[in-house]
Amino acid sequence: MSKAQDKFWPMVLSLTLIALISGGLLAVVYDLTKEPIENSKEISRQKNLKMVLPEFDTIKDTVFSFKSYDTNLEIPASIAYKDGEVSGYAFYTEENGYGGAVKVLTGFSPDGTIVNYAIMEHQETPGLGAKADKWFKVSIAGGNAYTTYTVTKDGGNVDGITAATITSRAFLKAVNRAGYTYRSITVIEKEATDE
Amino acid sequence: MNKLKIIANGLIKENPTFVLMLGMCPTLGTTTSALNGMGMGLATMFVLICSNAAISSVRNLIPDKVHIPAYVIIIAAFVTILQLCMQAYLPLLYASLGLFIPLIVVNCIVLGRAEAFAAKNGVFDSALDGLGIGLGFTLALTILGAVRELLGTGMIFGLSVFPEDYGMLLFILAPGAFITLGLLIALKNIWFTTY
Repeated sequence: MSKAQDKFWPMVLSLTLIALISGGLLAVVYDLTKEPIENSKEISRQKNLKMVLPEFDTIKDTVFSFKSYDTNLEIPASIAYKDGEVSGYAFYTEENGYGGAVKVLTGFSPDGTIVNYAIMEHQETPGLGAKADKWFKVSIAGGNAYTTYTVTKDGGNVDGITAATITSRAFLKAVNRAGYTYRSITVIEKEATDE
Repeated sequence: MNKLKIIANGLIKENPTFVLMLGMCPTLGTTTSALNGMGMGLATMFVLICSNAAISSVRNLIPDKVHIPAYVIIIAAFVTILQLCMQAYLPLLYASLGLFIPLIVVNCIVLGRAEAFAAKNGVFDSALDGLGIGLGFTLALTILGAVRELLGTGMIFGLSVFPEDYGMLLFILAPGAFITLGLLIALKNIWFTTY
C-alpha cells in the first residue's frame, strides 16, 4: 500500500475518520461502564455509611437546605433509623483541598457525638494529604458537633498532617460544616416539637 | 527482528525510565508507594500496547502532516477507555491514581513509541514493543516506588518493615523522588559498565 499523500482531502478525511471511530468507541465503552461505575460508587457509599454511623436498619437519604448568614446551604445527608427511632445522622460535605474537592462523610449519633468520618473522594498527594482517611481518627472520632476544629498551626485543637496543612484545613472545614448542619437541623427539629 | 529481542529491548536496552528518561512526570509523581507505581506502570502498558497496535495498523492511511494529531486522538481514546474501565472495575486503584490516568495521554513514552516504532513496523511487532516498553516502565516504577515507600514510611507494598516513625518524609516528597531516581540510574550505570 502506498503512503497517503499530504493533500487537503486525504488529511481532512483521515482525521475525521479517526475522530469518528474514536468517538463511537468511547460512546460504547461509556455506556457499558456506566452501570458498574454507579454500582461501585454505591457500594463504597454503603460501606462508608456503615463505618460512620451507629447501628441502623434503615437509611433515608435527604437534603437539608437552610440559610447560613447570607448563603443558602444545601447539605445532602443520610438519616439512620433503628427500630423506627433515629440512630444517627451522616452529612456529605466538601471543601477544596490541595488537588481538588475533598468530599467528607461525617457521622453523628443523635446527641451530637461524632461517631466516625470517611473520605469519599479526594485528589490529595499520595503519602501526604491522602493520609487524611486515617490520620484524624484520633482527634475527630468521639468529638462532637459543638466543637469547631482547627489545626494547631492556626492556633487550634487538632494536629494537622505533617506537610499537608492545606488538606488538613480543608478536611476540618468540611467536618465543621457537618457539625454546623447537625446543630442547625436539631434546632429546627426542637422548634418543631415545641410548637 | 527477533520477537523476544523486541521485548527485551524495551525492558533493558531502551528502558523508558532508566535509559530514555521519558515520562518523568508520572514517574516522579506516582511512585510514592510500590503499589501505586506498579498500577501506573500497568495502566501505561495497556495504553502502549493498544495505541501501538492501532497506530501501526493505520500508519499508511495517515498523511504525514497530520500524523501527530491523529496519534494523539487514538492515544486519548484508549486512555479514556482505560479510565472508565478502571473506575468501574478497580475503584480502589483508580482512587489512588485518579489524577495521573488522564495524563497518560501526554506521556511522551506513548507518543514516542508511536513515532519511533509503531509508525515503521507491523502490527504484531508494535504490540510487542508496547509490551516490552510497558514492562520496562512498570519494573522501573515498581522499584522506584518500593525504595521510596521503604525509606519514607518503612513499608513495602503496605507491609510494615520498620516503624513508620523512623521513615524519612523526604522520600515521599518530590525531592526524594529525584534523589532516588538519580541513585537508581547511577547504580544501573555502574552495573552495566562493569558487567
